[in-house]
Amino acid sequence: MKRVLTALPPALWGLAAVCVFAAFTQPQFLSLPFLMILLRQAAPLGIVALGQTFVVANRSLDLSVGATIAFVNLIVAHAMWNGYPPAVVIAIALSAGLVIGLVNGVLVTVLRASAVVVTLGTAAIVTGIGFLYSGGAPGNAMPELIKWLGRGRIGMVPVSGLVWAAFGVVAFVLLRRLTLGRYIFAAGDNPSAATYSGIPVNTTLLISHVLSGLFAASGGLLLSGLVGVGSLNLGADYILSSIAAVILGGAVFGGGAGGAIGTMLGTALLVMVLNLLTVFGVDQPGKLIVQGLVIAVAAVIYQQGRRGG
Amino acid sequence: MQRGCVKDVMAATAPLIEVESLSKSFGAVRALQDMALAGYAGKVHAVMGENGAGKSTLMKLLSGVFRPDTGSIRLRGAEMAFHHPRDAQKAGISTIFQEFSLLPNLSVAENLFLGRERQDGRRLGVAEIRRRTREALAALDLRIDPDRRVGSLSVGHQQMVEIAKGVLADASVFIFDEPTAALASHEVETLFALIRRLAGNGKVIFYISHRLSEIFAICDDITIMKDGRFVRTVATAETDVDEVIQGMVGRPIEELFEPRAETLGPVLLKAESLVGEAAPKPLSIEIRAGEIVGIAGLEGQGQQELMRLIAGFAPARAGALTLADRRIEGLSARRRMAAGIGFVPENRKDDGLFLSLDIGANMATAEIARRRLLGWVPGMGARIAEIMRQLAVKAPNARTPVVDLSGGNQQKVVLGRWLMAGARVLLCEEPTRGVDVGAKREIYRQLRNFAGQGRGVLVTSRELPELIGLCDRLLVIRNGELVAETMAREATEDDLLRSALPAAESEAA
Repeated sequence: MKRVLTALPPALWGLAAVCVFAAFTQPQFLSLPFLMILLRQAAPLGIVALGQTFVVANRSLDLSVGATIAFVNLIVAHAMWNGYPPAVVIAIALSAGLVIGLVNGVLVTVLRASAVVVTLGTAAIVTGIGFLYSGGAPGNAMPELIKWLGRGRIGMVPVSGLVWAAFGVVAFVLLRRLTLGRYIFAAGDNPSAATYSGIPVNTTLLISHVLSGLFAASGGLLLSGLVGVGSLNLGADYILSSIAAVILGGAVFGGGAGGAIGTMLGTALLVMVLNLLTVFGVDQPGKLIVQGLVIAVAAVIYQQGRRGG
Repeated sequence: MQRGCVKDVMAATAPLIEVESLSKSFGAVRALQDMALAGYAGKVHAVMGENGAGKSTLMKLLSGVFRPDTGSIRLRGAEMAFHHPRDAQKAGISTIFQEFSLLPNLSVAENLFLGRERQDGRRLGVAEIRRRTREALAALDLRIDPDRRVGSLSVGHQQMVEIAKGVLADASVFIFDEPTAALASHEVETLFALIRRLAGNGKVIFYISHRLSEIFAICDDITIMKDGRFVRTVATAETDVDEVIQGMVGRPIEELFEPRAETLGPVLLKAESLVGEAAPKPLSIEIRAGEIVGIAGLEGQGQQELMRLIAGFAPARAGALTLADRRIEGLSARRRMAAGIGFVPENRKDDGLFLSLDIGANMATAEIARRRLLGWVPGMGARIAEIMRQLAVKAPNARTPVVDLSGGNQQKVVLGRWLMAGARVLLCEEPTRGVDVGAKREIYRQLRNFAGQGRGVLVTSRELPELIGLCDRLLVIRNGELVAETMAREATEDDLLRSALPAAESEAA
């Protein structure tokens, strides 16, 4: 029984606790319309965190997701794309994410450099290119399609929520149903043993980073649509939040564990907690402290659970 | 009757430390029952038994990590009650565990004097600490710089520092728990010299190890345990390896091994003058279907390089490698594995297992490694369960994490990985490293079964009796060259050792 309990992601218990707490203190928090607002807000982070899941499970880390989001935002808001079909703009934005992920992956695998240093470095470079590209003044020409993706609704349900769900299914299939996922968990748990078992460890890590880049760009698209205009430094807080969501979802630093469903629950928990804090009048510094604590506590609890189980 | 046995062997003097009717249970598990042990000053005393026989529990009781349920520990006749490891240390029992208690970022001197600063009411000066450290190290004939950071020392030297710590604390009983597990062979020699020196100074040494050769090399007495109980204490000079093993497992050594292959099939794997970066001398080997071939040799003679060259982890520069009529020397390791090569690395924890994954995932990796990256993974539960049954893996089910398994069962999981992947030739380094005697027998049986299905096995091992008993044919490697070949049934340890020693050829030439 204990094993069953500790095998479930910590986010599930957190989510249950937060819902009970909200039910007693802020019942309107759990009303359907408000939950839909939360869903719309959670979707971009949710997708970025799903991408982060691949790299964390693979014993790596992607600190360039924030810069990727900002870069995508500058691309889609730039006036130069006026007149192009929105699909082209989206394709270019996603390609940018893919290239960033590819560069991360190549540097991490070929140079065997630390993922933290590499992705911080690419983040700085991408941010710089973004400033050059926008001339320091982000545009506000954004295709309607992207705005619809970010803030539109179908009936009551936000479009971005559906997109998040679709990415969740893709991530779940990749991680739990396809060979690739087995490679990621094996290489994440023990790269050396994976190599000795015949698993293409470098290719796997490269793909994880590419997926993270792609997912970050997709999350950036939704976030851009939600914000509606170009903005410097969009998504900077998504670096920490995406990692927090993955850890809450049951992944551990060092790799080999976690999953799509866990990360989605982790994202939901994080967004609920942050909004509850807002309701209780806690401001940005307080939220940052809470996020940091959440990462530390979740990691510790989960480690203990695994050891004890 | 059991205790009478102890007294018979050493009636001469009173023991310095004596354990009587010691028992310890963990929940329903009786880890130790009515155990007896007596340590005499100046003697090295081995404690042997299979994994789970209770050796570790006994030593943890002696070092104050656990408290006994019943029974007594007497040191120089005085009854001891340890509530904390510190109590045991103060009483003069120093334990050198496999994991050291040293702080890697402090210097040797700082580690040695940690917690001893206020012994005579004032702090020791840096100069004095350094001087006394140098003295303590010199007393043990150790050349270690007192200012070196402990983390930068080799494992062997760290162990020496740990021992020096015990000497400084004026310990009279030293407990070594598998001290050579992480040591290189030359470090083992240094350790043995040190242990002899401690014994010469009248200390009691308890030595726990699986390695029979070491125990016969250094110990005066052997106490054998089985299932948490005392079996007997014998003087090393009056017993032999067979008798000790029989005591631990309850059956003679010959029965550890399966009968050898009667008929061999065609050549499965053939290396012809294969040369690699780290193996510059051309190597030629043939392995037939049904055959287990062993590589004997002193440590570090190129065994690892040979295995990795065949497995493809080191690229071949010249020569040919053929697996069942297919040339594979140009293929990557991954391709060779897909073609039917399996590899069991020596270091199971670092290179073999996925410790946070369950048995099923661990077993499936090699099979899955052959699949397309974006292919759908089918359910493998039935196949995994079948292999677990076949290998007699002791675990409730395939979802059990491999961390929870014993060394022997972990090794079975790694073997199962290659059974599942359908490997045709298994390259197996040190098949029974860190595995107790009972599980060894099981692994020998599995390797023989594997070969019996028309496959081939190539093993390296440090233990010559294991190679002779397990294999059909033996090759001796010396300085990167295969220098001798013999049928295992005709091989003797003496002959193998003679071929393995470097002096032989230079004399001939």
